[in-house]
Amino acid sequence: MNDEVVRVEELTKDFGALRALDRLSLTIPRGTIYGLVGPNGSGKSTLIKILTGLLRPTSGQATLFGQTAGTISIRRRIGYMPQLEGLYLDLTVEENLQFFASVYGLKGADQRVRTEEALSLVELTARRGSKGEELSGGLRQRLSLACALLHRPELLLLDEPTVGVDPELRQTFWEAFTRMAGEGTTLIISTHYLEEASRCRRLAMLRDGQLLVEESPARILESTGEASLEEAFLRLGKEGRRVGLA
Amino acid sequence: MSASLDRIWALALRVIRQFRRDRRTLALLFLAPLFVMSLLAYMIQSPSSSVRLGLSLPSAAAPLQGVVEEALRAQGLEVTVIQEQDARELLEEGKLDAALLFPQDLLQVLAAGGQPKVELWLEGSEPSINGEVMARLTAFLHNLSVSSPRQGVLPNLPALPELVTTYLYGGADFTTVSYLAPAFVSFFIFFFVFLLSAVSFLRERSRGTIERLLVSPLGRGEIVLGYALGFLLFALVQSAIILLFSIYVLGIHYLGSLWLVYLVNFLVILSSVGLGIFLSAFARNELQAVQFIPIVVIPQILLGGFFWPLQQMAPALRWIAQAMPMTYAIQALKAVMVRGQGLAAIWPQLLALLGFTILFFLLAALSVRKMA
Repeated sequence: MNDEVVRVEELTKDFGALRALDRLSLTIPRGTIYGLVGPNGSGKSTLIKILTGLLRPTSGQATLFGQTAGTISIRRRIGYMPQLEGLYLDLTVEENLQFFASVYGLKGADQRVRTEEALSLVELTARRGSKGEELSGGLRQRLSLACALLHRPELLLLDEPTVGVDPELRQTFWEAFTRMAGEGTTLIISTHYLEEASRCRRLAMLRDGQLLVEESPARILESTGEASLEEAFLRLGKEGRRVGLA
Repeated sequence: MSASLDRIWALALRVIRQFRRDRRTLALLFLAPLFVMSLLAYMIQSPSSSVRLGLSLPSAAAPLQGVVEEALRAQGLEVTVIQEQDARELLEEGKLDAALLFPQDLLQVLAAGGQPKVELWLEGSEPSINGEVMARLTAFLHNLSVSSPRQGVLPNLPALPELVTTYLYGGADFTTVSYLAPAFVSFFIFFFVFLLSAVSFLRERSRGTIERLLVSPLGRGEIVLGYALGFLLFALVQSAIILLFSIYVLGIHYLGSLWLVYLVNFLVILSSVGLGIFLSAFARNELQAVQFIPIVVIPQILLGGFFWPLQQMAPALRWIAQAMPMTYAIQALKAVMVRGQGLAAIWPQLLALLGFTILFFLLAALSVRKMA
């Protein structure tokens, strides 16, 4: 299907004796905000790292834009925000952005425009001259996001992007995510915040590397009969089984 | 508040626990000194290969030849009989360390009860070999003239023959510092570039920037090359500072082209960046990167020809030395700075350094993957 950005088939990843992902299969269409939820160690970050090409699967397949994850020709189309801040603390906010812009081949006026855009999106314009090491955790998180979307990727992989971000800015982030999705960007976001999860078009809940459920938030509430996603997930978690999708 | 033994003990226990769990640090703490000391002991104890001496006696003195040779060998010198006119070439080609040339009129001088003048030509670029030659020849001459049972052979020897020493390279102008300078130049560059690139690359990992780079369109080779280029500037400035300081402040005597010195340094820098990045994959933090010093850096100081030339080492150590880039850098820089030799003499060393650079770059590029 032309509209399919991500396809994961029977994806398994072992770290020694530990099975981090267990025969995971899913597809993500273009323009979707796709949420990955689940407790710590459930495999969210492992899945994101396989999609970025940072990890190789033990078995199974992960393809982005029809090509194997990690292929150099598709890297320009991907933006990644790692869980570790991934910033050069000895560089200023602006220098970090300029560096990553250059890495993605953005030059001259193009680079300046994108840098300004990214700075204003994460509300760091006033702090452009501050060094990374002078920023608080929340501000670093904002800069990290800016570095990931600077080159306007078609697919954004965000590993817990809103940790340490205050509620007001989190709101701004989500407005931006929704706008980007409207423009055709596909976003894969792992999160612990279930009120955020409810803003996703689709949700995948992972536990012990297995897909417990994969549905829209509304359908999850409906099928579990719970009032909130939190309760729904607690219940699904307790049942600990794959839920057949109607 | 009075000091509490419990509190102090709690802290001590924490420190002990930390080290107990860091097996690598423990291994280093206990085993690295043994490793370095064994290396040193082996180097000092192993019989250094004998010094290679060319001997030329006038044909009229042929009957003495056997005795003289034997007396020289008794001093542990490896003696080759040569023609006087070949001495220079053999020394230049590195086939001899020294040549002892007895004068044509040896027998006449002896017969007249005079003091013969014996010429000693020293290759000269290795002070430790110079010293060795001088010490052994002094003992040889002493035995020959005074107290040895062989005095019957040269019965008329009135005094020690006069030894007239000529240095092919080095010599009076060259202080010990002048001999050491080439090794210092390459060592400091190697040491700092290696350590700094290992530590900066570790930071890429610990801060997660390496993940961003690996996900970006940057190839692994590009990452390694970018690093090398970045370090090159500072390391070249550093090597200029070391050179200028050695020449103008320490007053070292040097020959040869500074451009060649730079060319050698250039390759040392590149290979050090590659080695630094590669080995940083085997360290989890900056402390562990520093721990490479006794394993990677010190053996290169001991074996690289810093103090002892390669030929004086036991064969096993020589093999190890030949697997280290520093050995070739020091050889090349000594050839240029002490002997004034050019590209024609040092191309094998340059080729070896280039080989190390390519090897380390490949290993570094492969290891970058591992780091995510």
